[in-house]
Amino acid sequence: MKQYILRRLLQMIPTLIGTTFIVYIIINMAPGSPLSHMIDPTITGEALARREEQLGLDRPLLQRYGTWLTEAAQGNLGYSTRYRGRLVTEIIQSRLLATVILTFSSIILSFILAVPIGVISATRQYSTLDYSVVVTAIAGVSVPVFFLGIVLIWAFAFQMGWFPVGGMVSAGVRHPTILAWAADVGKHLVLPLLTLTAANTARFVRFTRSSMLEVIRQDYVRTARAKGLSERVVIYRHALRNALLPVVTILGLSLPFLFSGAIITEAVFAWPGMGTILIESVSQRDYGLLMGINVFLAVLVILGNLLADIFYSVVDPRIRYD
Amino acid sequence: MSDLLQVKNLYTSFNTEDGVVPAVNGISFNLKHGESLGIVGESGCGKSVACLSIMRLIGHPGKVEADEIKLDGTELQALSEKKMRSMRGNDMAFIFQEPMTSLNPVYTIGFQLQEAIQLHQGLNKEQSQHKSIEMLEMVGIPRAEKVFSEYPHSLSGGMRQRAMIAMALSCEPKILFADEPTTALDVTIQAQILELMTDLRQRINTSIIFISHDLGVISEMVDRVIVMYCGIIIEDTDVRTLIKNPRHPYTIGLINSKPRIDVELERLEPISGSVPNPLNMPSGCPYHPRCESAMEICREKLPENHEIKDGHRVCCWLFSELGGKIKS
Repeated sequence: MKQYILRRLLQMIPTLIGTTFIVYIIINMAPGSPLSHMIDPTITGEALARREEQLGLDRPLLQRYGTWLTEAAQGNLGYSTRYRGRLVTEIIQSRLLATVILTFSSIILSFILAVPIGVISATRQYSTLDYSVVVTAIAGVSVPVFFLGIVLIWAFAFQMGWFPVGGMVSAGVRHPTILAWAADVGKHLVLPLLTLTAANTARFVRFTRSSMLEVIRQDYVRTARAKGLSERVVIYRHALRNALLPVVTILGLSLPFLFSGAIITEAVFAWPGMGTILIESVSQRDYGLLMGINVFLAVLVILGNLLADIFYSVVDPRIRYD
Repeated sequence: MSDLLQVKNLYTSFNTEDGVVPAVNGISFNLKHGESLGIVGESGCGKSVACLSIMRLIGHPGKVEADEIKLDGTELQALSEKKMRSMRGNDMAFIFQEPMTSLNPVYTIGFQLQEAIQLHQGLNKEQSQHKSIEMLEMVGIPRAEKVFSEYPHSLSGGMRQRAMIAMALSCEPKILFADEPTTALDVTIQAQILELMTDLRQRINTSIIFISHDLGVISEMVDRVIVMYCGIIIEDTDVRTLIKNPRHPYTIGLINSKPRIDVELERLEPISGSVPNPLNMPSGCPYHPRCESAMEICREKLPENHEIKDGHRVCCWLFSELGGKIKS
């Protein structure tokens, strides 16, 4: 097992080089340069060229990528141009917490909601309850996040005034204790969390339901019933554990998608997470920051995959890695 | 010997999108204490469904109706779901056809054995573990203690079926339903499992209902045989009579279509035609379209049971006075 994990971690290296290379090429092929967003439009072409030379932006693409890669390998992701020379790692760090709070609370909440709903819906297939769950889930998957977000803002922030419109903490307020800070964040979290969770829950419910429907028709579920076990034990002990196997895999694999899915939600609610800086870094041609986020997301994808595989071997005795 | 199980007019049907499918169409039979009864018939004739119905294991959209399903004098249909659960796996046990898929892949053999023992016998963890290992040894599993903590995927089909048998017998049921327990196994393993079941039956004194479509297996395993066709019992007799002197045309056809080691045959004689579509059952006797001795009345009315000899029931017009008259 240890060896397996080690091997998988080593496999990360070529994958990372591949993804960063592709993103580097693409962003450099896009018109414009970091400088075009920072300078006075009246500046002469000559001065611009001189500055480009100073920053090394005039060198060939491959050479620049090589430099970036050597530095990145040593843990130096460089500076951001958009944030006037702040370290890329520092910017990501400052934004990470907000994204993690939003994404993870949404994953956990939607999982807690989705599993029982999926199970109940599957055990009562074709009942009114099941139909309403299926229809709601399809609606949840289909309604775009930005639309739902705006509707929620309109209803609960604008009309009712129960929650703030956006942001993560109230502006200009100093929090005396960490608890007070948490309470303030919690209040700001409600609407973006609801928005993101609606979509995630809908997806998970559909997975759980279909997986469960398949499992409750299996022979071993009939065996469990023939043993005289109660329906609850049959469903939650014998069926659910098998039904969750594919759900867990999907969860692990979709971890990075969940992260990037939060981007739109963050934009709608002005949530100061990674999403906002990702969009900025692309539109402002902030090569350094973009590459930094790219590395971060790539690592997340790979770790998500690995985590799914490891967890799979924990819950399914048939899977063993040696 | 008194009757352990009495079934009277059992009907099981499934409500499907295409219409109501009658799987079991009014069957009646008795099973004596310690007796072993075979149920034979083609796939889809309702033999498994009949047994699952008795154990109330038919789920939605199935519907079970019967005048009487009595086990040891207790009317099972009157029992609450809770009471029924306490009998399932305890007084009545089931061995399924597919050992490869009948055990839960994510729990150890031991856990699955202990579950029933703890539930029905009120033993604690240690005692039930002891009992489970004992059961595994009894069904001839080598290294029982090791197998106890192994998962189903690491056992072969034969070993899994042994584990299933151990599980079914762990609470010493009064009646054991064995639904083609050897169909999925190869012939050598099949012989071993059958031998094991005969041996265990004598030791535990359980009545067995043995479902099979293999007349060879049936003739070795049981005292009495019921032949089913399209959800009805067409012949019910002791196993010797069935092999030597079958009376229903369908049974005769079945026996003739079986290869025999002592007779040199150029070709087997299959029964012509095929099983009718359950959604579109022929009128009268369901076998009449394939029956060589079919008469006018067979098309019109379902025959009654005729006890042609003591303990030999045949459901065919050939043996009724009415049918006899028409024939002569």
